[in-house]
Amino acid sequence: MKKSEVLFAANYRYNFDRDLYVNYAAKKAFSIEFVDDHSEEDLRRGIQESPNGNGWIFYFNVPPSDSIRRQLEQVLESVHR
Amino acid sequence: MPERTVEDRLREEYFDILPDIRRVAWQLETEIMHITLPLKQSLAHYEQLVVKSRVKECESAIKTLRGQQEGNVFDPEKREKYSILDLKDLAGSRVLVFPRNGLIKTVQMLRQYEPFRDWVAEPLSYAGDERGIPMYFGFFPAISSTVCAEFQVVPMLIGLFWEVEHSAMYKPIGWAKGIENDEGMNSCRTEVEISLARFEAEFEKFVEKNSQPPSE
Repeated sequence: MKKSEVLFAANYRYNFDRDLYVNYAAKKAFSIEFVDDHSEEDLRRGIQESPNGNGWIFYFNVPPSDSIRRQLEQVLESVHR
Repeated sequence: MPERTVEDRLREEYFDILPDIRRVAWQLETEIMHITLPLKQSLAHYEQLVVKSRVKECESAIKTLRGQQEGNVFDPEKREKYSILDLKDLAGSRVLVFPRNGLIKTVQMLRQYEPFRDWVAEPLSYAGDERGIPMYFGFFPAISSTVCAEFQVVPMLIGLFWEVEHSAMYKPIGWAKGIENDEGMNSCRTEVEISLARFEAEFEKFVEKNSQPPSE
C-alpha cells in the first residue's frame, strides 16, 4: 500500500496549498517531507495517536515553531469552516 | 504600522539584486549563443537549436522558497534565515535541440569552455530518458559571485511541452495551485514525455535509414 493511500484510508485529505495531508476532524496534519522520510509504520502510529483536545498535531520533520503553528492552525481552521 | 512580513523582506531583496540577475542572464545567454554558433551554422535542414532565457520572477522566487519549508510557510521569527540568493535558478537558459541526438554534442561543446566547465551538474529527471536532462548550475564571478545561474539542454519537443505544462502546473494561478501533486495529471505527463521521446527516437532512425546511400 502506498503511504498516501494509508492516509487517504484514514480520512486524510491532501491540502494542495500547504502540501499537507490533513484530517480536519481529528485536527492532525502530516507534511509531505515527513511522509517521504518516515515508514508506513510511523504514519500508522501517528494516525492512531489520540487527538490533542482543541489543538492541532503536526507531524513534521522539524517541529514547527509557535508562530508557524499559529499560521497553519489559522489556515486549516478557515478551510474547515 | 503593520509589521513587515518575510515576503516583504524577500521582495525588497529581490529588487535590490534584480540588476545583477539581469546581467547574469544576459551573460549566460550570450556565452551559450557564442559557443553554440558553429553548431548552429552547420545544422541540417531538419535540425534546430534554439536558446531561450529568462529571469526568475519575484513572486515565483518567493513561492519556490516558501515551498521549500514544511507546510509551505515562512517562520516570521526566523526571517533572517531566508534569502532569494539561496535559489539556484535566478537566471536561466534552456537550449532546445531537435532531434535529441544533438543533445550530447551541444553539452560537450558548452562544457569545454569557461565558466561552464566547472559548473555543477544535476540531471533533471524525466520519463523519456533514464539519464535525465543535462542541467548545470554555477556563477559568473566577474559579474556576480552571489547570483546563481542555470542552464539546461533539452530535447525541443519536451522543452516546448514543458513551456505550456509548467506554466499551468507550477505558476501560482489560484485554481490550479497544487496541480503538480495530482496523480492523474502526473500520469498523463509521464505518458506525453515517453511518447515524445519515442517520436524522436523513431525520427532519428528514419533519418539514418534515409541518409544512407542506396545499395547497388
